[in-house]
Amino acid sequence: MITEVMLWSSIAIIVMAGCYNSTLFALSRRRVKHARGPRAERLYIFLLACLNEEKVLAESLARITALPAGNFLALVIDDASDDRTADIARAADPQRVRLLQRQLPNARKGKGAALNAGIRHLRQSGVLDDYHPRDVIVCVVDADGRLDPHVVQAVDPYFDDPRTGATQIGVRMYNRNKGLLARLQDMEFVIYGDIFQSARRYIGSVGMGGNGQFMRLSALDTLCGYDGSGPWSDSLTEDLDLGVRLIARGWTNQHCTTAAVSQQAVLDVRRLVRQRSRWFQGHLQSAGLVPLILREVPTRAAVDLLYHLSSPVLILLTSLMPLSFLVATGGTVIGSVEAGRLLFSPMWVIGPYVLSFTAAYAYGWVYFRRERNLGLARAVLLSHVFVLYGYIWFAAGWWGLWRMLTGKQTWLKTART
Amino acid sequence: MYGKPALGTVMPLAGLTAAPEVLPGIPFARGLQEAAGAGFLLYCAIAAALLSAKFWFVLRSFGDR
Repeated sequence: MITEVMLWSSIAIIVMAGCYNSTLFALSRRRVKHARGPRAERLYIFLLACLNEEKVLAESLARITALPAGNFLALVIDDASDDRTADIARAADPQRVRLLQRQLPNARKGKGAALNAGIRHLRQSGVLDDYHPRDVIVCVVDADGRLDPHVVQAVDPYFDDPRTGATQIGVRMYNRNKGLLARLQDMEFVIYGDIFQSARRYIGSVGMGGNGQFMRLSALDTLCGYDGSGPWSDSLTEDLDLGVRLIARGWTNQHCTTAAVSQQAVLDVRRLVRQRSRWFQGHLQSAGLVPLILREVPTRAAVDLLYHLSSPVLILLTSLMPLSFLVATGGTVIGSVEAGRLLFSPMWVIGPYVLSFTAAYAYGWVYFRRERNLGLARAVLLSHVFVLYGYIWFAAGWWGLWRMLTGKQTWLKTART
Repeated sequence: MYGKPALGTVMPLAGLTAAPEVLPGIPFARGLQEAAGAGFLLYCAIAAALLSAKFWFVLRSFGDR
């Protein structure tokens, strides 16, 4: 009896996650009305935390300096790079690009520490003196981030609502045509943005993604500690941490679907798993946010955030099931060969297919709407591969858990190509 | 987390409860799935406790007002 309960409980994980995903898919299809306040001219500041980014920085800065917006500048925070990162920043348009060079031993303490240093530097430099913090929008961009030219025009109306603390834009892979792995990462970010983030606008729990996240300076100020610490934490996923704390402070996080930042997809499976293990480890660290969510976040958003923060646990649990499926299928095939007849029912194939791949049709359709040239049939076929690609998280999850249990906290930076 | 779409799409062996034990590997496969199920029951218990705590905070702030 207990055995039966546990077996069906494992199926219940998939049913629960399937129901959640379906609900968010339905919510994501609704249109959003934005509250508007008075328009204001705002200063946009792009922060690029860089550690050895010579391969990608020049192109990103060229995109930023060419933005058709009036009032903006970029701050390159060089986190004690060994390469030509600082030289590239100096060579960019001096009217638009500034450089902050951090030196060891204070540098290389993580992305959050670098961004905090950037904000401190901006205040001390006097750049912000003529602006009210509510009219200064800080945007975090990865060094390989290529912003859409219309990004400021797309994001700016969200900040007309005085309650908006932050707005996350979509994320794409600019090298998505460089093979299946890059294409699947592009699909992953599109699905996450167009289904999950879009739906979370209604729940009030939109997350921040670290690349292409725009924040009002006055909102960031509410996250600064009394000890002078900056808004970003030293978590490996400082973006997730910041998004949750903004909601807890009463700000609204928005998700903008009409503009995106394109970044470089990882083209090697091992490096991809390593990157995801870092995200996973950071997500586990964010369990420390649970008391804050319970106390400060409105109920509906709190329930979603608790599910979101607990998703690593569910990933570790569900990772046992494909393994179980493989072992049982292998055993059944061997048993069938020995018996000279088929020992399994067609339900063994149909049941797992329905449970696993039904979502692929929705994911394929959503991706097709962004990539019309693929064709709907190819997008749906690709999304079947995407379902299997999701299993990368199982390897990354156990790796991330191992790193956490063994006390490893170093910044496993993803190398550029 | 970007891995969320993967959560609803894993391949379970839905027919495992009816699988004959004599097949090689079935007891091990069943054990793996039971471990996942046991973990989920523990997850549900903790989730219930957290949600209770949340509702307690909601009621307390409602009372304060």
